[in-house]
Amino acid sequence: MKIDKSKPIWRQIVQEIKERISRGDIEKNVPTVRALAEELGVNPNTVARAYREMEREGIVESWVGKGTWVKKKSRDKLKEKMVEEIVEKFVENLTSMGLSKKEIKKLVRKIDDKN
Amino acid sequence: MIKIKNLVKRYGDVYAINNINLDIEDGSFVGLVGPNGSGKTTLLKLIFGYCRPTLGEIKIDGSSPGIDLKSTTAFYPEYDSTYHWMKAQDLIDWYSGFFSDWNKEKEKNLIGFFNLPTHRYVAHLSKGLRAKLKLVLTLSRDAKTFLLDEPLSGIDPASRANITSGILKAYREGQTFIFSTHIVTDAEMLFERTIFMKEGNVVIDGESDALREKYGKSMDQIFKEDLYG
Repeated sequence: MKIDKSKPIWRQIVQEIKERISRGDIEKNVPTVRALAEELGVNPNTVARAYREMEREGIVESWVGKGTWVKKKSRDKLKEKMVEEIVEKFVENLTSMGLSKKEIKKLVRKIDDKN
Repeated sequence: MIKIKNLVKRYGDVYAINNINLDIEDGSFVGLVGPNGSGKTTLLKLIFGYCRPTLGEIKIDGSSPGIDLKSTTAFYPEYDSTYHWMKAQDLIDWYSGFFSDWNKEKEKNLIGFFNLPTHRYVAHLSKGLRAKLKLVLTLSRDAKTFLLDEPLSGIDPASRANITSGILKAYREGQTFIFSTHIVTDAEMLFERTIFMKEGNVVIDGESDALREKYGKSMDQIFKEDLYG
């Protein structure tokens, strides 16, 4: 993970963990605060803040002494959201190049045919 | 909790510290950032009790810096505080005897992490290795407060990450760290809070991530572009 030091670090950690969950790199147990802090070279309190935010969003659960783990449906939900975001971005990019929705749909169908 | 009120330190006609007010919560990891001569070292010395304020006061958990607080506070000086005629391990063993909070396991871990050849004479160690030896002397304690004065000064860029990782490894929840530096980029991710100093004053002080949000810049960019550029 490459950290951009000009943006809040805890937000980037939230994003990174969400990506790891949706890719399936993290299945159940989220790394301990200390392990991730040492991996990324950041203050453990910054990692703890990111975990608290993910807990607030209902993505992970944690229990004192037992660590932090991913909630059951989080992966599917995160994946769905991430796919939506990619599609939105894709459509946005093509529309800004002057393509209509109809043309975009046509293009996507063409991909399907090739495969 | 460290409480600093209306602190002034004057040397002759020079104000090294010019009316500073600060509260530092227990368990916070603070970066004290500023160019040479901005008052960082003087502030750390005042907190440790190496020198006394001209005006104002410092209270650590309600008491003034002094002999009692030295048993719970660890200081990393910028100058070479080692004895060159000793072997590194002998120096560590001798030094550890002064502290009831010495943690032998931390000592071993840090020596291993820094790859410190402790069988050698201190005189035969490079400047970088001597800095690491000084860090072993400072960080092997289970102190409550750690005052690190320029631990990156004189360290080549390639070794700085090893130093900051070692400090991060030694840091325990609940301990207060104040880390002074004019080399910001290699250390800023350790700082929960960053205090910028200029000419004896605190000019910017905030939670590092909140400052990143506010300025859209890294602590290093604020240091170079906004304050001293």
